[in-house]
Amino acid sequence: MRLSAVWRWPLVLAGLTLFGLLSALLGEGGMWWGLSWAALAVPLLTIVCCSVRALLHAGGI
Amino acid sequence: MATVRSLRRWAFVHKWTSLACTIFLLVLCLTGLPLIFREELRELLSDDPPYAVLPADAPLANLDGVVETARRRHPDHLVWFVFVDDDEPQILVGLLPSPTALPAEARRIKFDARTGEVLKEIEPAARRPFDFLDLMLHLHKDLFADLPGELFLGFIGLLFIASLVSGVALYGPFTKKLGFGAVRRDRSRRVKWLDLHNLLGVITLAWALVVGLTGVMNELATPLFQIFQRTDVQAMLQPYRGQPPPAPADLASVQDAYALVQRTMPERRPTSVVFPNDRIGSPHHYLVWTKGSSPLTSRLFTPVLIDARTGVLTAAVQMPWYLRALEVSRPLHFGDYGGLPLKIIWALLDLVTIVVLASGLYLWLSRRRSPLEARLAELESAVDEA
Repeated sequence: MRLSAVWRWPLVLAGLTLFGLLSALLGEGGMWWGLSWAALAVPLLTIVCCSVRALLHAGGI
Repeated sequence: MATVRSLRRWAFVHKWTSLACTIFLLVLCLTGLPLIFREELRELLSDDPPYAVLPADAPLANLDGVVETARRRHPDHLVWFVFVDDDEPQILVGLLPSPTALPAEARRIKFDARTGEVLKEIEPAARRPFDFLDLMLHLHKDLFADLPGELFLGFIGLLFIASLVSGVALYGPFTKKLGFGAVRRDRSRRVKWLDLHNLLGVITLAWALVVGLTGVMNELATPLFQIFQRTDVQAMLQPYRGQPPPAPADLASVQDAYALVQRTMPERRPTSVVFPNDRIGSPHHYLVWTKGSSPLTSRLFTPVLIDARTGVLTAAVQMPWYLRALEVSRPLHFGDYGGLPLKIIWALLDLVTIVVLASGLYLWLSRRRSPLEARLAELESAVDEA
């Protein structure tokens, strides 16, 4: 696999995380808080999806 | 392309920086979990009497009256600070038994901010037992070792950052043949945990880096404020050199000092008034801490010096860059700037970090049973495949 392919999703998730961290801090509440929660929830949802997939296929980890 | 030698170096750095900091980081993650919700827990665990039910726009009690009440209750103490809360209708007055007493010896009196009634006396920290949140905070901040503990945990934070950076260097070569998110289910239990360790680690990498870096910054707060006190503040106090500090009876009205800052800087809100002292601030001034109103500027404090004898505004102090960096780093470490949902997300990311740390420890413990050559072969085969 090419290096860019290895890092594509980690970089997307890192970008979303940084956006989520800064949007609540620099924004004036309201919409920015919502965007922050949504952006920071993506890494957590990714973890849930990957873990569920591993559990379903492995019959336990 | 990574060479075997460079990979071995990164593996060495990752292993030893991680091992050196894992136990302490587990303590930090576990103690940090309740601290994320400290405001909610304080409210839940509080046995303080309720505030008077008054209209939301009820005016603030006169600060001179509040200070006078505090002095009458403890005539052998010196007033240290007056804190006017903007979250709750409370005013806290801090009192020290002597000018050289430590902060832990300070007693506090809680007032209703509108009626000026005393709600509670809070004994000095040195004399009362720790409650749950105090215990968590001390373990998280300094391991009960004050400044040496803070500096030690700051160093642990640096090791954590080195561990994350070296983990990034290893992630590419070791996951090159796997798709993102893959967990090899047809291999041993150890391989599955290795894949999960890599996956959870890389997904939470940015958050962990931010929390790690801001944690290091926070641990440096004490020496940074000391530098500020010894350089910038001393330079500002140059015109007062040689003058005796005002006696308590000569102090100007604290209410007038507070109101002067409100009038002069309407875009900022005064939060506390520190009385003249030698430790933080000036022996000749009231130091009024002010903050802005937006999520960011409410974290950026600007101190204003009011001549404690004449009540004249002397200066609004420009904070140096390192203290501004410290102030910005605080919310990014605490996760308390985006409402309860952000706190819940913070707690979940903290839990994921605990899993990454524990799985790293498990991988090292299980790896010790493998022959060294097998480990090196695994490393080299990864490079060959890269």
